[in-house]
Amino acid sequence: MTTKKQLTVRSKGLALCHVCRLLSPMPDMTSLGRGQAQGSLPTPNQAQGSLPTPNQAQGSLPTPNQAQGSLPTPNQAQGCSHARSHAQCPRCKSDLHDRTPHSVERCWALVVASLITFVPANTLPIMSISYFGSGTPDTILSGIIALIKLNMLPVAVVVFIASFVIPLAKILGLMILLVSVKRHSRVQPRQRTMMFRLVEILGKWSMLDVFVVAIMAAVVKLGFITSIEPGPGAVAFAVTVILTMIAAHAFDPRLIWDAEKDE
Amino acid sequence: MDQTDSKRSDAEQAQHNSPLALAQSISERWLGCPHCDLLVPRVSLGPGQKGRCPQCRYVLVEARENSIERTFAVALAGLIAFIPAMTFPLLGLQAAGFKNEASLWQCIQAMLKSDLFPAALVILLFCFLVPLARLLIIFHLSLQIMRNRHHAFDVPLFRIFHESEEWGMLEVFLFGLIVALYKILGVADPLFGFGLLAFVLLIVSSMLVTVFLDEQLVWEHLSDH
Repeated sequence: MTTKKQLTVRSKGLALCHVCRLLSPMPDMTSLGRGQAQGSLPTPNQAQGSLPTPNQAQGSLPTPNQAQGSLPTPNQAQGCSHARSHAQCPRCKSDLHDRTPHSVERCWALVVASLITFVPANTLPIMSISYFGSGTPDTILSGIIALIKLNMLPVAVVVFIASFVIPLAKILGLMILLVSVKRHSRVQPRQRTMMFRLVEILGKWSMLDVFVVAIMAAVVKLGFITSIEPGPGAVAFAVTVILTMIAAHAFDPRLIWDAEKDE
Repeated sequence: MDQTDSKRSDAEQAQHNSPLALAQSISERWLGCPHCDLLVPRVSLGPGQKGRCPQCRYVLVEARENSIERTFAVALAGLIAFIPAMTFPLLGLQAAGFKNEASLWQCIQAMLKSDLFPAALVILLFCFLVPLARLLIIFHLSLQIMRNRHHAFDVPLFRIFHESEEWGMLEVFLFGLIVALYKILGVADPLFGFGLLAFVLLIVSSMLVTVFLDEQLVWEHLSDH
């Protein structure tokens, strides 16, 4: 922000491991095969180290040269068999990427999918309460209205926020981020990064209603008087939450800052 | 920036034969921000201090005291509380002479009984398997570090631990218990089971694991072998 050109992981030709945070040099695309062989296979070095033993054994023969000369070939062969389109972290062996591959496309796909499943999640009954045999199916929203009618406003507010506001806010937040990244927006990158973190943290809390339904179904079992039957809405809702969590995971927040640095 | 270049080339010359040693020598001096790609020089921190990214405020490093020993202790406590937390009744109700209590295991069964297999799987996975696996892994790894041992499976195990963090949902389930309790209050008298105590202990210890654990310390141990 203050200086025009800031030091970034990318500008120094490094790659940050997304699992163990190790900074390693990003291999060039041209010499990737060789870099890969070195990166993933420490054994060739050991092989070279242990080479003197056969040399000593066959001291008088000129074969050691040949042996050394032929050494790169198995290395290359191994490198080729392990060759991939990307590098690996030398410490934890997870894939190294400059940016999460296809981050925007994958995130869009998951956001759209979660929007689709959000419809059955809200229209299918999440549970039905039955008193003396007669059941009334409830969706998430009608359950909240029932809570308000029972004078349980605080609980109603908590359930409403956790199971309706948060999933929608997550989807909306991710859509804002995706659009802003696509348009190379340079508006408030720090605030947008914080918004991403909020989406990430809130992620699992919308699972609340699924758990409440399961608890109620197991606990409220008083013979003929009253019982609770969970409905298919709970499954659709769980799927929505999982999809939004994977979507947030697919989004690479570094894209927010790239527009600023590309300049 | 010139300084960086010279440092890197020095390191490259000295330890070119091992990419891990090279990467470690870079990481000793620099930190990369996973949220904004900024490269920040590593600074030494006092106990309890946090090092935030100057650009996006992401917490890059956090100094923790006796990280491994404390992690081991709370992981052990969590594992002890685990079985009673899952099998003993958490919550129940009482009305008109009837009485019913339910454990987490019975919540899963209730979902299965209504043919909601995916919902049962969600609870089984996020409230049972993931928390259990995470506790077992970190218990094993902290013990390994304290005994200064190493096994080939340790690296993939710690990767699973790292990547499963957001999929453990015990605290959400506890919140669900509170909401369910309020709902029951409108119908009948609630009952609190012994499992609830174990469940709260389990959540406290699994949260303390994330507070005490210095992941970088574990990675450094894993790369030394």
